[in-house]
Amino acid sequence: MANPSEQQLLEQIRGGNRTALGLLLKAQERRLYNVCLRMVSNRDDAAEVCQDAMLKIVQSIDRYRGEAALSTWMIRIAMNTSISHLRKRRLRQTVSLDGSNNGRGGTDAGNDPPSLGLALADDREPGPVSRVETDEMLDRLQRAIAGIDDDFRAVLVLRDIDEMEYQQVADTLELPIGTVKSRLFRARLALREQMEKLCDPSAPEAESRGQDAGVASGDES
Amino acid sequence: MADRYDDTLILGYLEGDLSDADRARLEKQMAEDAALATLVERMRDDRAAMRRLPTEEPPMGLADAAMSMEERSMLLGDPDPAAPRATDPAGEEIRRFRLHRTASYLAIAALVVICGGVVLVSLTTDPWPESGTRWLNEKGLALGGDQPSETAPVLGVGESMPAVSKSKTTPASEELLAGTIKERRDGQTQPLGRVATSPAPAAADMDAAPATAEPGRRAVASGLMAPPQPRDEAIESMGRARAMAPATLEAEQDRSGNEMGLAQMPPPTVPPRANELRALAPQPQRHVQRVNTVVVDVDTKDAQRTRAEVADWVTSNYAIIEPAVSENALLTEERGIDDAARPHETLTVLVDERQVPQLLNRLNERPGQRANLVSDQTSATPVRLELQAAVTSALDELKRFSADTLSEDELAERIAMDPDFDPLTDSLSMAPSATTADQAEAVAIEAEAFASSRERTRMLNYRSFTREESLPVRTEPWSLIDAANFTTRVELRIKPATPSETESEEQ
Repeated sequence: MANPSEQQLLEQIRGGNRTALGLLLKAQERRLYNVCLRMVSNRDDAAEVCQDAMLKIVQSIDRYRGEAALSTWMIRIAMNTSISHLRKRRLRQTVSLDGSNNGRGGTDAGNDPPSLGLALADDREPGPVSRVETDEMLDRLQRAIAGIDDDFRAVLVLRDIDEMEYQQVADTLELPIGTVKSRLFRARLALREQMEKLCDPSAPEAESRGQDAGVASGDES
Repeated sequence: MADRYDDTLILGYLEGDLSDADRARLEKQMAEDAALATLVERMRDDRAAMRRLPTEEPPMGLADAAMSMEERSMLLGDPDPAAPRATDPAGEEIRRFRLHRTASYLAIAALVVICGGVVLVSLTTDPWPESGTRWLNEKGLALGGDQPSETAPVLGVGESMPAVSKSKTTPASEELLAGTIKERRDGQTQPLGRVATSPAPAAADMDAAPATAEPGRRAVASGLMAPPQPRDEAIESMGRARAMAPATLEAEQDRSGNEMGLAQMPPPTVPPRANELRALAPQPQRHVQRVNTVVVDVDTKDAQRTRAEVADWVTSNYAIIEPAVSENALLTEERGIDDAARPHETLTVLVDERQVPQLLNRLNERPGQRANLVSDQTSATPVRLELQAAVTSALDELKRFSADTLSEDELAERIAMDPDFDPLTDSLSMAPSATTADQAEAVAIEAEAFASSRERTRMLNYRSFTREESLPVRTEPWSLIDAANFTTRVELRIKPATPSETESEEQ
């Protein structure tokens, strides 16, 4: 199912051409990184996860059977690696006796970079008021994304950020299309709930979830 | 709340997948249910916002790093859970690569073993097998028996060894074997310890001394290598060498070709194994250069003043007092040269050969002082090695100084307290090899070149603070490259006049 250019690359790779393998990785590098970034909500973690995913791709490229597009197969590996990373992180946080996070998750706040949403907003140049609003919205959105379940987040990332078709999402997550649609709706609903909770700081649950998301996105402000 | 609604319908509406009829149906519901309308509207906003999230550039070299990691793990043979199966073409390729790698390692190991074996054999095998010894016997050069043994008597210099007498015409061999400057005390020739050669006994002692098992010494005894000669013999042979026609001298020097002077034997007398020996001999290092040695006797009334004059001349003429040579070495046994057996000291200066007349003129300017060119000879001494060692040592000292002693703030503080404080000069004064100010500056400039070419250390920052004020800058900096111009070693034998000489002169 690989497209012609991917197919050619794949043939070269299978012929032992490591340059072709490098080209393939470079071609998908940005996409893989952004998928990982949206999943783990932390640049450093994203780079690490993306590198791990690439390593897995290199090591298992010969096992690609062509049942899905090569890029879809690569995204699947990146997604699985990201989810695995999130689970390990959550496990570490659960085991940790550090009370600063109250066991709710998040990363080491002291080492986190500035807010991802704010950082991303730096590239745009609207007016000051508009920019602040946009910054806040993006920051809230990123925290809301980080606050929903991993499975929901995966569907949202693939569908909205990576702009995959249902079938590609299904191939990537190895789910039936119906499940993908169902999960996507529930993910949108969960995201909306997170956004509303973040907009209403009086709600204790919303605050806690928001903090969780904010930490996960590297925001301490 | 959402449980009350048809999620498929809402999702289809959000994604734009609904048919016209379904969309109309949902819009009708939304018109009747404000909560639904609000929910759908906000979900649509969320979706739009999600899609507006910009993509980020990945860190540089992410893919390359992954490739490198994979290559490294493959080369190291790390256990790889995702390793390809045997039936896969890529796995076959990896296995083939690993096989090649193993074969390469085996080949390298075999090469190392062979080279080691050759070296071992060459070191342990008698360089004069029976065939070679027989050949020596035929030529009258044998050591006293068919087979060389540790107790075999050694022939004295000149005893049935024409090669030895011939080697007298190449006096440089003395220095090559026993060091550059020798000191004779009590009839024994001793090196001053600067050149890493083993001390050689005096020729007179060799007549009676039993041979050791050292191949090199047997080679000396057999005339293949020139034996160390007493100083007077050497000087005599120097005179003969100078008396030779230029063409002859040149040919003689050519025969001494090897810069380390290890092959001083003339080709016609070389036995069959000599070429092999020569091949196994240490090769000259690139930075060892041929140096012409000039011996100058300086008769003076004030040796201290003479030394000061020499130092002054060195400073102003880009010469260098040879490092690691004691300026106060007393050579008391130079009877062959000095009939009065006066003690004198030797000051060795490295110069360009064109500077020799200048130095002589300078020393002859002062009344009551006379500098005479006694002899010159061609020798090969590791001058540049010494210079390099001096510079390296000084550099190390500088680095230690810069790294350990002062921080930037401390430096600024010290400079504020003492405007004349120059950390570079301080550090140079700590350098053990920087025996003169001029040499210290040479080292400093060399250090600067080193640092600017490799890494800009704090040492250079120190330099930038005070360089203009305290250190004069040479337009022609010293360096190891410039040291190549020091083609001549001048041995100034400073001889203080005896009281009787002084009196006679005064009369």
